[in-house]
Amino acid sequence: MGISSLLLRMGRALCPQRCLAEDALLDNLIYEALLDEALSVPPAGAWERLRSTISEGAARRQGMWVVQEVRSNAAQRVAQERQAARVERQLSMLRQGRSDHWRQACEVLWGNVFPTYVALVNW
Amino acid sequence: MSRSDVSVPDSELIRRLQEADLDALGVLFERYRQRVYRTALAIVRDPAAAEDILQDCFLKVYANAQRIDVSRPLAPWLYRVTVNLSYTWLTHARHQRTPLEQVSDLLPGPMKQAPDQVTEQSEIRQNVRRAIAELSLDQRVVVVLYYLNNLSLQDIAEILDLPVGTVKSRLFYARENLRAALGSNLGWLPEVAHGYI
Repeated sequence: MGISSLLLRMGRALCPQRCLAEDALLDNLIYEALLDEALSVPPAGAWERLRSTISEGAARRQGMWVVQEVRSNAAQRVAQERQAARVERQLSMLRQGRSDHWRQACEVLWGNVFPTYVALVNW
Repeated sequence: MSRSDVSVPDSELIRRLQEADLDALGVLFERYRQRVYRTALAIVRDPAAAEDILQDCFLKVYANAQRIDVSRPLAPWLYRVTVNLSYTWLTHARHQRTPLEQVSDLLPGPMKQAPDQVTEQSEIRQNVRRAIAELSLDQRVVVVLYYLNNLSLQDIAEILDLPVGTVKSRLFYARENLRAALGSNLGWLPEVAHGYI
């Protein structure tokens, strides 16, 4: 709140009659300013347009909904299957990698203890 | 809308709408279309947008008929939807970088008439309209609901889901801003200048 608002309030407190008059005047000005909107009406045919929008939407839902759902399900199914296959490939590589890693670790360990172990295992 | 439909209460119409009776929606539309349209128009200042908001408002009534509480009045719900849709439209319009100066071009009235037709009263009225358009959106909404729709502060608080004190504060500062914008206009009107009122 600025100094001007504060001075305005003090002036109102000192001159209540004048301020009430200004309040009433301001109210009337606002009412008059909004008169155009108060008297405005929607364009003709608004209800008909709304009704046709609703009717077309309902028809679209009833006629195409099932077909669209099947299509979207098929697309989803294919995507899911591809994703599952990708994951399965990655898991199998991981498993293979782990087994290879374990085998290599064993070879190194036993190779240090028993030098001919590696030759025997890989024969 | 038949004569008998006029007396049917909103709750009954909503019940019928919940049973997919589109004619019931038509009765509600006829009953509230002007209030919704003029509220949207006063907020967004665009007749085409106001019509879109009117359509969207009643589409929401149709889509959410099952969830409307028939024991409560419908008007506050409609006002709330109208205000929210107006906010949304204005947000999108702002993002489209509509210059603020163009807002004044949307104001109808004597500004577009020949200069000799502009009277002093019309000029003051246009100044007030411009001042209302330049209020913050929150303040403008409260002004529109209070003055255009003659709603009480309690009703406005319910519509906007705000405390009554907040509504009162927004209205107070809106009036202060209008008073500051129109200070000279308020001063040299004869009735006030000579102390007759």
